[in-house]
Amino acid sequence: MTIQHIVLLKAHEHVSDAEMDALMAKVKQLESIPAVLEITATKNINDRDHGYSYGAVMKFADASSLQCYLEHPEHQTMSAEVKRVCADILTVDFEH
Amino acid sequence: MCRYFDSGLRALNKLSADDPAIWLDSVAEADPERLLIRTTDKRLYSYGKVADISGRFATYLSQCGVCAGDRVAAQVDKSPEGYILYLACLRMGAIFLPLNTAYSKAEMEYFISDAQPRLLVCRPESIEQTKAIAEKFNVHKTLSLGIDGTGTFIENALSCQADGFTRFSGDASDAAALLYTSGTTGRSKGAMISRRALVYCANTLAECWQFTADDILLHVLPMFHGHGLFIAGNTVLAAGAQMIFTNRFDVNEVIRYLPEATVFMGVPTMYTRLLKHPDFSKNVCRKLRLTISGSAPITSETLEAFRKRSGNSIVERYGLTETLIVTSNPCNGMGEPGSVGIPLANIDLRIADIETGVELTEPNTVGKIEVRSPCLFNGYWRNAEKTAQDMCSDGYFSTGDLGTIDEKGFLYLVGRDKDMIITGGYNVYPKEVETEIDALKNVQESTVIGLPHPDFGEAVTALVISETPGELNEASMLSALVDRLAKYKCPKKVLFVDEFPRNAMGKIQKNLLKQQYEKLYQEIGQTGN
Repeated sequence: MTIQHIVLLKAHEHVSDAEMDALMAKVKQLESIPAVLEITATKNINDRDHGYSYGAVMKFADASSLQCYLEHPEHQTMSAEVKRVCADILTVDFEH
Repeated sequence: MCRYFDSGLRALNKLSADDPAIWLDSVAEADPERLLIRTTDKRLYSYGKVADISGRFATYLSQCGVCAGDRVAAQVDKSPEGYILYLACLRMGAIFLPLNTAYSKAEMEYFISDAQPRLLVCRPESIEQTKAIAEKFNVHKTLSLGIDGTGTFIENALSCQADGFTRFSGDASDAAALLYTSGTTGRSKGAMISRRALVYCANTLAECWQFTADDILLHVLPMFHGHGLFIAGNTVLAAGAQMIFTNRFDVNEVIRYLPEATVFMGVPTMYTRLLKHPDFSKNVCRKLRLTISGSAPITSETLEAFRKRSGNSIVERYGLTETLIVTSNPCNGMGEPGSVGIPLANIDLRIADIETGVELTEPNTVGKIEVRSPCLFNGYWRNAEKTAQDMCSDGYFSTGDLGTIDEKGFLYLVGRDKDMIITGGYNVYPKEVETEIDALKNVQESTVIGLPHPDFGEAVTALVISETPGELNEASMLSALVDRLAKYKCPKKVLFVDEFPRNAMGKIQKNLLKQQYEKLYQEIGQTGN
C-alpha cells in the first residue's frame, strides 16, 4: 500500500509567483531522493484554496520510506526554505 | 561450547515438508499489499504481486513441458523477474540453475552439456549465441529475460493464469537448485541443494540475525550465487521483510540507499570500497542494525575501520555452497574478533587432522573443517565419485578449508587446503585457470596463486614458464584467456619465470611463491581490474 504525502503551501504576501514557481521546481528535484517514488509540485487551479495556492503531491512505497524522506538532509534544507517563504503549511498523508 | 540451540530445531520440524516459496504464499494471502521488492528505478513488487507473477511463470514453465525435477537454467541480469523465476521453479518443482552472466561461451557449453536443462533463459542480447548452445545440447526451449523485465519469457508467461500449474508436492529432500562451484580438477561441479536445506538455513538465519517483517535489506549481491539468492533472498522471505534491489554493487548507489536499510549483506570488497567513499558515515548508516560479511575473509583493519566510520560492527559468518551457512557471530555484539562465529542450531562442526582425518578435540589446533548439517547439499550432480570423496562415512562433509575451534566453540579460518582463491567474493580454483593457460601455444608450464590485493582480497596471479623465452607476453595471453574463462577467473597479472620452486616430490611450492610475491599488488599500484 503506497502513501500519498500532500503538502499545501500558503505563501507570504510579499513572495511573488515567480519565486514560488522556482521553489516548486526545486521541490520536484527532491524526486532524486531514493525513498521518493514520484513528486508533482505546482500551482493550484482551484478557486476555493483559502490562500493555499501552491502544493506538492509525493508518492512513497510505505511509511518507512516517508520517514526516510523526512529525515533526509536534502528534505531538511528544502523544508527550511519553504518555511521561510510560506506563511502556513498544511500536510496530510493518505494510504492508497 | 557456544551454540545456537532452540530455534533451528523448531524451524526444521515446522517446515520440513515445505520450501521458501511457502513463505511468499502465506504473506501474499495474509497481507498481499506488503512490499517485498523495490527497485532503484522505483518499481514496486508486493508479496501479492510476486505470488501472482510467480504463479504465471510456473504455469508457463509447465506449458513449456518443464516437469518437477527438470532443470531450468537462467543466465540473466539481476532483476525482480529473474528472482521470481526462481520462486516459480520452487512452486512447481523444477530445479533452478542460476549461471553467472560473466561465463564465457566455452563455460556455458560445459554447464549446459552437464546439467541438461529443459529450458534456458538468457539475456535478450545473448539470445542468438545461447540458442546455438541450446541446440547443440538439445535444450527444449530458449527464451529471453531482460534487466527491465522485458523479453520473450515474460511476454509469454504474463498472459498465463496464475494458478494453472500443479504445486510441487514431492519430498522436501528433493533438489530445489543446482549451483556450480569451481572445480579442483579443472571442471566445475553442480551442487544439488534441497528444498529442506533452503528452508532450514533461512529459518535459522532469520532467528539468529533477529529478522522481523520491519527489516529492509539493501540487496546488492548477484542472484546467481548462494549468498544473494539464498542467504539474502530466502531469509527476507522467511521474515516477511522487504528488499531494495540494486542491479549490481555501485558504491554511489549504496551510499544513496543505505539510509533506508536496516540490513546490509556484502563481501569484503564491498566494505573496502564503501570505506573509500568520502560520504560513508554514521549518518548514512543511521537505520542499519545488521551488517553481514561473508564469501571471503575480511581483514581486522576493515572491521575496525567500518566500526569507527559507521558505528556498526560487521557480523562475520561462514558457509559454502555445499553447506549453506555453518557458523555466524551473534548479532548482539558478543562475537569474537577474527572468528567467523559459532555453529548454527543443529549443525555439527569438527576439526580433523590434515593427514589422517582423525578428529582433533584439543582446542586451537589447526585441521580440516568438517560439517554435518540439515543444510548439507544432496551431492554433486551426476558425480557420485566426487561426492563420495568429500563426504565422510559418518555424514560429515569435508569443506576443504582449514581452521581452528577455540575453547568457547568459535571457529577461526586459517586457510584452504585446496589452494582455492577468493577474489572479490568469487571462488577460483587454480587448476581450472592453469589448465587453460597450459593449453596456450608456447606455454611450457604454469602455476596460479592468489596474492593479497587491497580491493579484491586476493588477486588471481599466473606464473608461467615459456617454451621459447621471449615468445610470450602478458597482453596476448590475457586476450587469449578472455574467451575461455569468466573475467573474474582471468589473472590480474602474468609473470614469466625460468623455473618454479619445487619440493622433493617435484610439486610446485606455491607457499614459497606466495611469500615471494606477497606485495606484488602493493608494489605495482594495485594493477588489475
